[in-house]
Amino acid sequence: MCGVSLTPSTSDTDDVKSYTLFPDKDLLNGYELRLAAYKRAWSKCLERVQELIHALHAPIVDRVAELVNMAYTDTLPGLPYAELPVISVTVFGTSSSVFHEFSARLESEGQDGLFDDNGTHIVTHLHPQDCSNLTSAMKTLITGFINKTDEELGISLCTFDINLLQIWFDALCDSRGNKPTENFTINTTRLVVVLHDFERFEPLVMQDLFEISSLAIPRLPLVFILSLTSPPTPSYIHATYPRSTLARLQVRSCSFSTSQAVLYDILLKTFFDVEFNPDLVLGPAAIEFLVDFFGRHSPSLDGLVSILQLAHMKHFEEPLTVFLSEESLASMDLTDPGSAPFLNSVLVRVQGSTGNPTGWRVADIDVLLEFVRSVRLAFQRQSQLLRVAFRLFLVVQNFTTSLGIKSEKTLPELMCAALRGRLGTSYRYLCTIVRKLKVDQLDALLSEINDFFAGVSAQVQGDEREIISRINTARSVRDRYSDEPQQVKDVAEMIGDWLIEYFERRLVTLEELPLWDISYTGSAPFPSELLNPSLRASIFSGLLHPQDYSMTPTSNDGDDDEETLWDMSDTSILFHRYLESGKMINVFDWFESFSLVLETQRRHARTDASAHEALIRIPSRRKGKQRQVEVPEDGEEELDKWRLEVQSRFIRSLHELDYIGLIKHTGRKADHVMRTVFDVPG
Amino acid sequence: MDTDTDVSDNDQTHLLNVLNGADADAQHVRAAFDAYFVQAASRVRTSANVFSTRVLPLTQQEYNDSIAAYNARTADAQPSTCWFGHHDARTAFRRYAHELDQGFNLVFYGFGSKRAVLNDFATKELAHRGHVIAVNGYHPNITLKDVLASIERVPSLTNASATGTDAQVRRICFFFSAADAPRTRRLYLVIHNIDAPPMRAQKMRNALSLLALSPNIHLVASVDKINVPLLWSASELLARKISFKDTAASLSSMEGHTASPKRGYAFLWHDLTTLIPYDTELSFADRSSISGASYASTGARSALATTTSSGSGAPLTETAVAHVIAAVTSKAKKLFILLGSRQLENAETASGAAMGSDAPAPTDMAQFGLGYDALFSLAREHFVATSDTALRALLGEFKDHGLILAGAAGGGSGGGDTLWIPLRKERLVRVLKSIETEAP
Repeated sequence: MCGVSLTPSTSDTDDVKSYTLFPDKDLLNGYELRLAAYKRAWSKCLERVQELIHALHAPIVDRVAELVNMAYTDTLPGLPYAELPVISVTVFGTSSSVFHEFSARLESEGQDGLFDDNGTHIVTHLHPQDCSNLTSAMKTLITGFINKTDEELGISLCTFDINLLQIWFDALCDSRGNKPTENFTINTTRLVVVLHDFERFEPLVMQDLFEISSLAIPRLPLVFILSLTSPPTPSYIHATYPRSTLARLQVRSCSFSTSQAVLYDILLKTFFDVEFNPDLVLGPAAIEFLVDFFGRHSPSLDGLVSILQLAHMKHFEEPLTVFLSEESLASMDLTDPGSAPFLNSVLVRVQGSTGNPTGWRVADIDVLLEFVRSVRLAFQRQSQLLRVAFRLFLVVQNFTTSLGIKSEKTLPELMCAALRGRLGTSYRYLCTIVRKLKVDQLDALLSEINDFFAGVSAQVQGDEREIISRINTARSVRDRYSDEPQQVKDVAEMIGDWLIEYFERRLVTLEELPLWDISYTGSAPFPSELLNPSLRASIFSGLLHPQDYSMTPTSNDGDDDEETLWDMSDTSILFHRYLESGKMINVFDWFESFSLVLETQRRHARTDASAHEALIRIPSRRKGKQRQVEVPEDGEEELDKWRLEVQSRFIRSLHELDYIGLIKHTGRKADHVMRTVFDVPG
Repeated sequence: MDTDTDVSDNDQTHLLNVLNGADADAQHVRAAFDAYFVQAASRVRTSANVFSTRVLPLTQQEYNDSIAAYNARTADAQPSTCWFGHHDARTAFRRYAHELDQGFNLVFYGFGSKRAVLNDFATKELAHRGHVIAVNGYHPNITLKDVLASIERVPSLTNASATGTDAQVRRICFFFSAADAPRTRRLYLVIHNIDAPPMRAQKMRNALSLLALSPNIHLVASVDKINVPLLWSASELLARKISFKDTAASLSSMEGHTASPKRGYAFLWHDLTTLIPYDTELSFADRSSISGASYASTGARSALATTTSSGSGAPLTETAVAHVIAAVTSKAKKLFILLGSRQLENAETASGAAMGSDAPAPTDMAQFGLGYDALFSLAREHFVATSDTALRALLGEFKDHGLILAGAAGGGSGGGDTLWIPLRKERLVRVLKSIETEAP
């Protein structure tokens, strides 16, 4: 059943892995160089994004840790029985790594010294798949804890017996030096159970699990963490579980939901940060896809990371990207004859971008490399200054927003516009507002701009000394003539003009720089079908238009549908007939119509064959007479064979349609099947 | 469809066209679900013909023969699609392998069997990089145990004693993600039809979703069903592989006792429309029945498995007849010939009478059978059986093996039970001829 099993051969060198999509303009070792560059760029980006995600998670991790620590100590006084602490965590869309962080945090909680793990909590995970019934749920829960440590229990109990957990926990406390006393608050260890995808657990099983657990507390300090993805209101647990169960629980909730704001924040801090320079600048097409995917399909941080990685992977398939890293520039051997195609393509690009018709010779490779270096540096500088200008734009926009003037565009739209150099109307509008600011408003804006430039690196300050000095001048002028309204107005207008001038200079499209595609994805479309495939459309187009996929394009594309139908594969013919029928299909009728098409097919094949023969025999026969070529009649046996073949082909095609799920056998009518697909695009 | 006596579906199509036209006039934009309501609004009008009574089911042998003949005839017209896009197959394979290396698993969709291409991918590309296990998910009887057992055939993996699938999965994960593992210790799990019913079982999915996120285990899967995206949740599909850093930390502390809690698939989707017929995938389909392949989408027990185990219901083959005939007494053989030749005669006269009326070829043999009384008198005349008991004894053997069927069909001469041989006319002729030539 498991077919082949192959063991690896010894050769594991990189050259068997290398591939190129552009064999006519790539280096011989281009794959390795690009792979190295990709790894560097991607790990830099990934590290940044993970840091940001980690920072986003930090508050909720802290909160959960606090709640776990407080469980059993922070209880309401005067309760008739101890309530089972349950923390419901709404993690809509975030990556599942947040639970790793919970576990790591809880398991390291209270670790004071190297060897002192007295206070650490013990965490186990339950998945809905493990809890189809109570026995397996209890078993998973208990073994999950017991397998964590090496306590010798000296007793054999069923692994689904909660008493086993009790004995284990007593032994654990013994070995940690905590006497299990009646005063449980002394013991700070908690047994934390994380229930992943809580909505998918069977409520009846969970009711029993909670009941059993609540009978064992507080001697067993169990704490449940529920991972929910449904919105916090209306609360899933309150809507689903009966009052009798809820009465045993002490539910506390904290929520973390990724909204668009989180995505915007990550994008801004990764690709439009003043300090952070990503190796690869994401183009507007990729950003648009990312925002669309996040907003429309799945607001997941995992998805975000994958999309960024795919953008990197796609970008580094371009041969030119070998120039991105300094190491590969140094190790490149361009004098090798195999590099000639690559060099040619680069030279064409360089000449095109510089307009320098003098031409480069291969002897000038050093000059070329020097040129590439300078171009790359120029791009980096330009893109950094673009980011700074964009952030300044945001500063001004935030300021005007605080005055009550809202912008209509979302942040990613602004980002894309800035990258395309089409932010003109937005910043002009902003600067018009700036020109009309009042005294105190102008003061506030000036100080904000001043603060912004104080925060950027010294290098950027050097590059932007013109606008900085202008801002300083404006501030000093403003201080000197603080009580003359006309002067203030002049200053405001001046600042407006200066800002426009500055934005005009900085917010230009990066695609006009020479060799921009070394480190910028530009408007190259994102390969969206890798994550969001159109499965149905693909299957239907395979069935309806098989000729689109064939290696040799057919010439008779002018014919209408009915005429070419007999030329298709059996399954396609059957599927065409399927689409023409009603909700239920009578299999016999289907079979009859199918065999009619096959008859046509056979007749055509025969006419073609005999016409072909006739053509060979009498080459001068006119085309119009081909129809009159006699088709040999079938014998009885032939006819039987043909009948069998038609039936076999029908059954095969029917089974194929059934196999891909286009047919439902309802059994409502004898030998009828039901369609499952009603709308077919195209 | 234009069968003469039936209410044709053309009316239905016409109705649909009218409806569509009306919609266009009213400038309505037709949404996807409108198509459903248009279909559901009208009464379904189909003919009263029943496929299984009008067409005799094929035997496996007949099916195989005619498909083989058809394939041989059209061998040069087999579909060859450019599934690999603008580049050649090798580049496509290496690109896929590169994506696997970067921490994604691959899933291939599109119409046509992807088995050959994926096997090619496994042997030509993946075999250089690590251990490859190909799982034939379309096999109706495959279980998680089989899959894990073949993974454990990887050298130096099976030295542990733990049994049970959970422990096995944990051990496999641990083995392939150990920090000190050599570079070649990679596992490529090629799963043909990860959407097949046995692969959809909860246990299988648990194990696969755990294995799929292990950093050195790579999943390459194919899917064929149109509703396959419903199998997995968005978070499962988008979950990312555990990085080596995480695994090292979690494994060193747990010594592999606990499986990593992360589950998912990290799939990248690729269109692989090959248009190749699903012959291998459907090799377990019962070709004698129109619902013979439904096990492959619904997960019900294979029709083939049920019919062959019960012995009846499967269409009779010539070889089966030959085996039974060889084992019975000469008297019984004579009886079979008697019944067969009389049945043929009946069929001949019926077809001769119906020659003028252009009726479809008679396929239902029950109407040409012989009444029990008629057969008894015939048997007495030929000294095959002189008493009712003797005849019943002779018939018993044939009935047990399904060579002769009995029923209350109206077409037989005389009252009571009708007996007939459930074979096509031409096949019956062949069978009788072969018995006569063998008999002395």
